[in-house]
Amino acid sequence: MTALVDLPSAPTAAVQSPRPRRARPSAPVLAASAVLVLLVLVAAFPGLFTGVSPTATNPVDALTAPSGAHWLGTDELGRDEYARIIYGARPSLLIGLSATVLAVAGGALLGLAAALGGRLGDSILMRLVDVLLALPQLMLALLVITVLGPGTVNTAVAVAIGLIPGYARIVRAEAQVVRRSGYVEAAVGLGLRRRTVIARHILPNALGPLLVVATVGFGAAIITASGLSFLGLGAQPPSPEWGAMLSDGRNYLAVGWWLGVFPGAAITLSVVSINLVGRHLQARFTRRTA
Amino acid sequence: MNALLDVEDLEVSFHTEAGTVHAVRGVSLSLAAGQCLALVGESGSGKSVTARTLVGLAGPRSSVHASRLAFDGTDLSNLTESDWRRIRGKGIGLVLQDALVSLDPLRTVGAEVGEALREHGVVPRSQVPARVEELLSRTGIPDPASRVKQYPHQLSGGLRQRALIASALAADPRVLLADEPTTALDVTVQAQVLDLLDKLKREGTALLLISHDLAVVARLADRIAVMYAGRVVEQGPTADILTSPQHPYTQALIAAVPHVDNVRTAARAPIERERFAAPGPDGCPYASRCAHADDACRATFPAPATPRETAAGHSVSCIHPGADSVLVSITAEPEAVQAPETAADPGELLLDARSISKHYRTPNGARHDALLDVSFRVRRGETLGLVGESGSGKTTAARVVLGLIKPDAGEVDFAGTAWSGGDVRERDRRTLRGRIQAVPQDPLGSFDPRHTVGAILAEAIAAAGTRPRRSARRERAAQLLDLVGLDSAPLDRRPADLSGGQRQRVAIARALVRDPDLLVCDEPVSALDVSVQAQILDLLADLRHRLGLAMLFISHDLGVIRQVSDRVAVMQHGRIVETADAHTLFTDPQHPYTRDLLAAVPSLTPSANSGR
Amino acid sequence: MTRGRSIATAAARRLLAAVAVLFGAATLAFAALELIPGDPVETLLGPATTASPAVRRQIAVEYGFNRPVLVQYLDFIGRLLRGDLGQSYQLERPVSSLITGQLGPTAQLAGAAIVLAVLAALFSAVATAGRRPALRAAAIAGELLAVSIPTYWSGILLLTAFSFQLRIFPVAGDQGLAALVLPAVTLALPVAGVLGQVLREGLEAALAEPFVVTARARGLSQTAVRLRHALRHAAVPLLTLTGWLTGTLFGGAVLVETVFGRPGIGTLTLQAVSSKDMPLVTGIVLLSAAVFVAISMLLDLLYLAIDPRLRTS
Repeated sequence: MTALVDLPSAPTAAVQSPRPRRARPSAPVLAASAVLVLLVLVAAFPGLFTGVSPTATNPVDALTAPSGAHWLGTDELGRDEYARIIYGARPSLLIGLSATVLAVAGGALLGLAAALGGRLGDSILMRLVDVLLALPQLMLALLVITVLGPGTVNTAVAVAIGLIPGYARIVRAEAQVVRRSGYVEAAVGLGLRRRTVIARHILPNALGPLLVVATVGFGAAIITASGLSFLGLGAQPPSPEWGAMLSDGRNYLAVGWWLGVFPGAAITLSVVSINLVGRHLQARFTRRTA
Repeated sequence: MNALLDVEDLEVSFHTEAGTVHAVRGVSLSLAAGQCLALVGESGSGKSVTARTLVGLAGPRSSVHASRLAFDGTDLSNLTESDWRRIRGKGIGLVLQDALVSLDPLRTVGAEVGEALREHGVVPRSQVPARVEELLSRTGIPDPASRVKQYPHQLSGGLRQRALIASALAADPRVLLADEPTTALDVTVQAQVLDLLDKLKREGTALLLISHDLAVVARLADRIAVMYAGRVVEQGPTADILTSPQHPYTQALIAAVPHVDNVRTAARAPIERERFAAPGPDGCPYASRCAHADDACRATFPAPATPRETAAGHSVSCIHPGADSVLVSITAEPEAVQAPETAADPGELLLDARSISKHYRTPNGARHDALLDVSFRVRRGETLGLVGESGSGKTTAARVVLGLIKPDAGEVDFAGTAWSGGDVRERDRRTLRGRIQAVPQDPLGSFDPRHTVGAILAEAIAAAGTRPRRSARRERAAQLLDLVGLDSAPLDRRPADLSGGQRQRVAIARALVRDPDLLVCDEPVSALDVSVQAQILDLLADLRHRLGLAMLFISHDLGVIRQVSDRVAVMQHGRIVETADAHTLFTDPQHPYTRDLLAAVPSLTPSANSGR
Repeated sequence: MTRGRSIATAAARRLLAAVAVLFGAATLAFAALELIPGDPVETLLGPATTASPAVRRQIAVEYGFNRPVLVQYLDFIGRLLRGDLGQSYQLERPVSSLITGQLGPTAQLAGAAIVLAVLAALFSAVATAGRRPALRAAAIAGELLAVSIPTYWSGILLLTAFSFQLRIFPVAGDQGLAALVLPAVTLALPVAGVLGQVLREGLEAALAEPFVVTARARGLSQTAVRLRHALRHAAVPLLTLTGWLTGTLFGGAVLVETVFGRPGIGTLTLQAVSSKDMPLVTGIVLLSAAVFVAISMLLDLLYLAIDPRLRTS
């Protein structure tokens, strides 16, 4: 029916050349991608970016402002802030990444099981998800940390558990829509077996949206994980994780403003870049047929 | 004659990332009180843009120029936004299609209808509710007092559309622009809304009617202007245009309409694809589809002229007007349509549906009977048309036949084997699946959005059991595309990048992979432009004859059903009320509902419409 | 006609679901309690204890640790139904009084943050939806930044700037309105970012709908269409943000109260978690579940009020 009415904002009358289908990434997105590549390099090869050790204490130089010798200043134990931030990239990003991967896997499993299993399984799983969703993500994470104890691995698990219920719901909703779609019906009409239909059509189309959401969720996971470290429950000293560095720095704000600025800037820069790229992917891959 | 709307040489263009789009070029028209002018065209013709430009709502990034653009003497070309606001609703009203989305679903009918009243201060605030009820009665809505408090989704389709019209009439505009006002409606409801528009016209409102449906236009319009790709190609009195069209596009359009009165006996559909050389930027845009186009056509779009053999006021912009006399044209009297020669002996029974019933539970617990004791048969090589309005159950019947829904009662046999109903399981059916295939209403939805056309066809080819090598699969896919009139270019493209007609061809190609005996077509052409529709119907007819296909063809459009069916079954409220061979059903209907249905269809023949 | 009845049944169904959720949350908390490795008595007494085995046995009996799990669970549920949240291990006061004591400052903070966020989001969305691309780009950039900056960092920055350097606001505590400003702004920032984005996208989606063309064809101005028609449609997707909203406010409260040294549920939670004070943790879990459920129900009712299409189903 909509084919018969031309829309005033997109007339097809006299355009001879077809509209470009793929939007080219804008300048900010390109810059963000470059930043992400840089971050990956920093996390993988910190030694390339600084020769100074992040754990070398030097009480004489404690709490010096940014200068030529120490680009980003030193902390209360005389450790070089710049080196700490460089070496802190790996733990800061890795926790968030592992949490996201775990959450995607867990959410996909749960959501698919609910949508494709029987109605009873769906009810039970969704009641469980409802309960988990009733608790704030941080609360769930704190609960998990209470049981498991602090530490980087436990933090990743804790953050993941906070994300899984939401992801499961997304997957389940998508799977239900896909299950009723015209192309699944067409596949059944071709005589394909249930297994084949699930593997070839339902899985990829149901999981696609989750992956897109997860790219933006990655940024949130980093913030939450660093937040837990900030609270003393995540990465433990002397790990130069950025959240933990902020927590240290908070005690010396009056005398060392740089301790409260640069670790947070690093987190923000990472998350902004991830969000920009994630949103671009979201815009590009969300096909909503009108 | 005092023209209320006077437009000369209107140009509307949009600035997009892909360049400047000339949506409307050189359009001239005029409209007087109590008259109806119809703008007819397909998607992309610029008719809707023209209408919206007349209320200053062409859209962002648009530029509008005209040598004359006037409403009741006021020049519209350089109005400010606040000037426009005084004219909108009060001088010129706009009615869009599908009131379900054209009225704010979160506001009551009363609020929507009264909005123009309040905006223009037509009556004092205290009198607004009374006036709203008056307007609702005027448009034929019963019990207006209770309707006022209801929301649009609570009204039936016809009442909603009337409410939409009422809201456009609130401030008593002298001109009413109606953009596809009946497209979303069932044919019986459509007739009622057309009656209303006719009444308004006779009461003095000037009506600019935009439609793709020539039959609707024939009923209401005094004059028709045919648009193609932003230009008016022909304009004139309705009877004249319909009986002696001059422009090749107009002729093709009329010939393409599948109609209860107009049975095209052979495949003479107008050309859909752009087979000929493209025109230059100032040439005639139809040149790429016109067999008569020459270099002069491609170079310049001619000014309108009146050919000798037509009535006064009939103008056409064509260098070769009246060229195509081969195409069927509508004469003043409907042609006596011959009964078709009796087909060869009916073939074996392919599909046997016996007493199918299916009910659903609505969200608020009530029981809805989608199908009640429905029985029909399809024999090898024949086409059974299933026709009914929305809610008649025809789609449910199709899904039962395809084995997608299990009926509550009754059985379906296919090719002599139990197919649906009873305790037939999917694995019992699987081997037969290849012999019955579906052509869907929404081909795009039936394709996995991640797959290319090649992948879609390859999946069907692989499902046929044999596992040919990749090159053999591609060859077969190209073969199938050729069968449906496409070249092999779409193989590497995604369906979303193809046109509506191309997509439907791909869907048909996929259905043909398994060499089926029966095709179940559920509204396969409803979403297509008229000319493309004709192409697809011709393709299906061609395939039927070549491959000996049987078809279960489902549609709400009686003209289409007439075109394709050997036998027809009419459905209403989940039951089949009448089954007969096509010719008999359309010339001598027995059941009262069938008679009502046929009576409600607007006829392409102007004289048949007068005296309604 | 049956509108009253359908709303009543809908409300009853939601109430039942709410109770089920609370029940589930309580069970979850209990399960987590059981999962903590090690001897519960050790946990209770803390690491630096010198209690003798006899004392430990006595404590075990007193707290019922020696009974079977099922019995402990039933006892736990039983006490909950009577409104008894138990006694804090470390602070040796009833959990319910601890929680109600700390509720005030957090509620103040959350309330102020929501108000600020909604005002900012409304203003930004209405002013920029469907307007000049430059404005939209600025709004989008602002929202992006707002959600990417961790609350603990923005808090620290604001503290440094306004409390330490400029000395406008107090450094810590919760006395008076001045102490509320910086924490509320910090907490409001990410919320405003998301609300603004959802609202703007909702407005733009609504403005693309046909009924907007109809409304303008009646002579309405751009602003009138936005306020009278589009805004109501845009509010609908906002209501689906419940879970996220309460989660962010709670998590934010924990962090903001830590950064600004404010008392409240946040600091209480942290303390409970650090010392593995399970009755207190359980109490807070139940509190957050109850708040979530209450807000959900409220927003569900709002949803019904806004969108009449939902009422007949």
